[in-house]
Amino acid sequence: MLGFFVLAFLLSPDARAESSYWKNYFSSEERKAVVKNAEKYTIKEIKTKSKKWKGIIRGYNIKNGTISDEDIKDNGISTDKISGLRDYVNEKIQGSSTPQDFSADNLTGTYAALDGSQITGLNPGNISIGSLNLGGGTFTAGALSVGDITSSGRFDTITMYSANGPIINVKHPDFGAIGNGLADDTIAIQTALDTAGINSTTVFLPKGIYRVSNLNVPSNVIVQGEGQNSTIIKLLNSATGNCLSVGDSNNVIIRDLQLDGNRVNNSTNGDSADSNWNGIWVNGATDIIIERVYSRSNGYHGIIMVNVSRIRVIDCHFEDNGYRPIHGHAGVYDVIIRGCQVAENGKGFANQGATPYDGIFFFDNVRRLVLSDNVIRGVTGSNPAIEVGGIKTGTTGSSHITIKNNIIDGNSISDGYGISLTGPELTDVIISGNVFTNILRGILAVDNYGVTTGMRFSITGNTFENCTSGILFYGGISKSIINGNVFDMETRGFGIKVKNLSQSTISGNTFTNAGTWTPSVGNDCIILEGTSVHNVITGNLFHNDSVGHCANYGVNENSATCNYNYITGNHYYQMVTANNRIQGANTQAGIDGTFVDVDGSTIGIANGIITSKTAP
Amino acid sequence: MNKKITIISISLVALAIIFFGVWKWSSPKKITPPKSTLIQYKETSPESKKEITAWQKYENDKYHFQINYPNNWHIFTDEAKTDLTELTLQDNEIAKQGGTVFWSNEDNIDYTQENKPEDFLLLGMMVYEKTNTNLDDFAKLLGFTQELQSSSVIFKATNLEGKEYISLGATEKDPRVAIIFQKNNNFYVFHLGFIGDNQENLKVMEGIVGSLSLK
Repeated sequence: MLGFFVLAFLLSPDARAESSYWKNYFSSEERKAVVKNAEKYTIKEIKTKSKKWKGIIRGYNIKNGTISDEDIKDNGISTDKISGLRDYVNEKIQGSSTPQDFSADNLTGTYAALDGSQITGLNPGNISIGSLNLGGGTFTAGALSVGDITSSGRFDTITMYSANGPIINVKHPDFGAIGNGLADDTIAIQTALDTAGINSTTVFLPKGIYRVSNLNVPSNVIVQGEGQNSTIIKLLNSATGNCLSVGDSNNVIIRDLQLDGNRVNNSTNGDSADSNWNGIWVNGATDIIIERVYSRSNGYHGIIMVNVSRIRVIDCHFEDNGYRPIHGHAGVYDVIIRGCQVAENGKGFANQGATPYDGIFFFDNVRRLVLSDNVIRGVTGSNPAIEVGGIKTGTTGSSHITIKNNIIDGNSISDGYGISLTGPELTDVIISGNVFTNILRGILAVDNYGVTTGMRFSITGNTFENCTSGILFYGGISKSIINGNVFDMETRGFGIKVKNLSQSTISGNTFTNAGTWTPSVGNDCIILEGTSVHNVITGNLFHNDSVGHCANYGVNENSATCNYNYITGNHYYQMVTANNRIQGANTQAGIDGTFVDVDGSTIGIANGIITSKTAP
Repeated sequence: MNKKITIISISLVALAIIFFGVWKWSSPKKITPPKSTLIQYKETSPESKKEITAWQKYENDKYHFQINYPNNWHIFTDEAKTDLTELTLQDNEIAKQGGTVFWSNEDNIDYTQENKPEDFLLLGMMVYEKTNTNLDDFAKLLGFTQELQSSSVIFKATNLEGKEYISLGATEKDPRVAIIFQKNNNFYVFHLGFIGDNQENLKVMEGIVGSLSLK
């Protein structure tokens, strides 16, 4: 047989160098050499030689697969037995950026029933969250079994990081945070934050206690924890600064974590010497959201914001901070504080006395501030639960302030203020729907440093209960309304006391047992002082539970310079001897009110105003 | 009497044979165990694929293919874009051939069989055109025949599948090996020259061929 192939081996007589020579060699001469070998050796020798070379060539990287005839007929074919299938599928899945056309619809017969249940042995190590792409399709949770997830499957051990991925886990080996409450995780977390800043991604802190010193949060980063009591960022002993600093950064979100300033080991006085130790220090920043953060035990403030705009503090908790829970000054624009729990802050402030609790504080150029739905407890001394204004002469006034639906529960009726409005040029203020209880004064507009002046105040729908006094405005406001409030004074003090009020309305308020049990001038339902002119006081209810006690006057015009006040249509019940006290030269015609069971025996008229009336 | 007995006995034996035959014919056939077909194929390992991706790249826009080769190898393309011309293969079969490219571990291939360096490696690729021919038949025309103890194994390149053919040695030292891919009437033939019995040489050449991608 081999003789058929026995040909003379001839070297090419015109063999040339370079490609032409070797082309001829491979095309022709090599084959001739094979034939020559076949002639040279016996079949046995040829087989031996062939076997050796085939062994070498086949020995390298050979893959085997088998397909059984029976498999094809009855039981289907395992995918590992189908040559090329893996490449085909990979090409389909990875090789195109366009929607794939690899569809179950293309499967026929038995395979048309494939629904995923046939997939077994899936290795979790091959599942990458970062590459999971639902493609806008529907992911039905009902098909997802979580029964096999163990404690090691928590977020803290799942690799949730890629160089450009959406989430960076600080415990990923690339960063190496420990979170055991002992190790210094400053460098690890700061590296994660810086990396996130480059890629505009989220830094995720799994459950744990991370000991740090002065972390800086760059722009375009979300700092995400697992919950207020699960992810705790706690300052090291002798830390150099804030828990988190957001300086000149924009578009930052901080949420679901606790910031523990560890003030016992850093700063305990809460005074200016401790101003470097805050929960979050926000300076020169815009578009910041602080959400579900528990800021506690910081040496100075829970959150301090200076020269900021568009800040939202939502559903946070502040407690045991050395000075204030939230403090803002020197330019605070477009800020919302909502749904926060505030209690027992300012305990470290040495200047505030033995139990010096302080509250939320904004001053000096505050514009467009909303404080709503907060619960603030335990302010004491001369501290307010909420203070907004300019605080002293020389600072810029504030405007467009809304304080609504807060509950302010003081420490006792002998100290603490609910809302304090301070400084000059305070305008466009709405205070509505708040509850004041267990506190010295509900709303205060008096400034220890200067005169609190302002206009366009709308104080409506508030409730004052168990307070020593309701509202005290002692600077001078105009174009305002104090309407629809309830003063249940419980024989403690006045309801409303205003100085230099003008062009305003006090109407529809209910006063019960204002004043003290033994009536005295100055403990009345409404007191006008200074130069209060051109006001309307109407439709109010002045009610004492017992004749001869409590409020001395329904309206006490307690200054000869009051004028042009229109007092009418009020209802007086069981008042003391004189129901209105008119000292000013009111020139308006007197309009009566309704007088029931009053103590006066005659109708008194002063300057045209009915001041008292015998009961019918 | 004895004759009768003999006839009866023979008849009984004959009947027994007939009954046995009928029974055997009518009984269920024995089920033959399913046959399995062994498929062997070669592909580049994932580790090698990484290395190969980092190699230098050659693209041929005339014959529409792309291939990688090691950074310390050299390419010779003086006939890489020649037109296909006719040549006669075994059994006087006519085909067209052209587009020859060579790769070598040496920086020139200006040698002959006699004076080439000891460690000289040469990988040659040629494009053929042959109508109405399948891969195995075409390999036979190149000399990879059963008579010469030739055999083949499936070989996977980047986006197509071919076969690696092995035959007897071209010389005393080197086997004759070619990897052939078919796309329609075109055949891309790679000759693996002078690999001897060195698997590393084989690995490099198979790595080059395995990176072939047709556009």
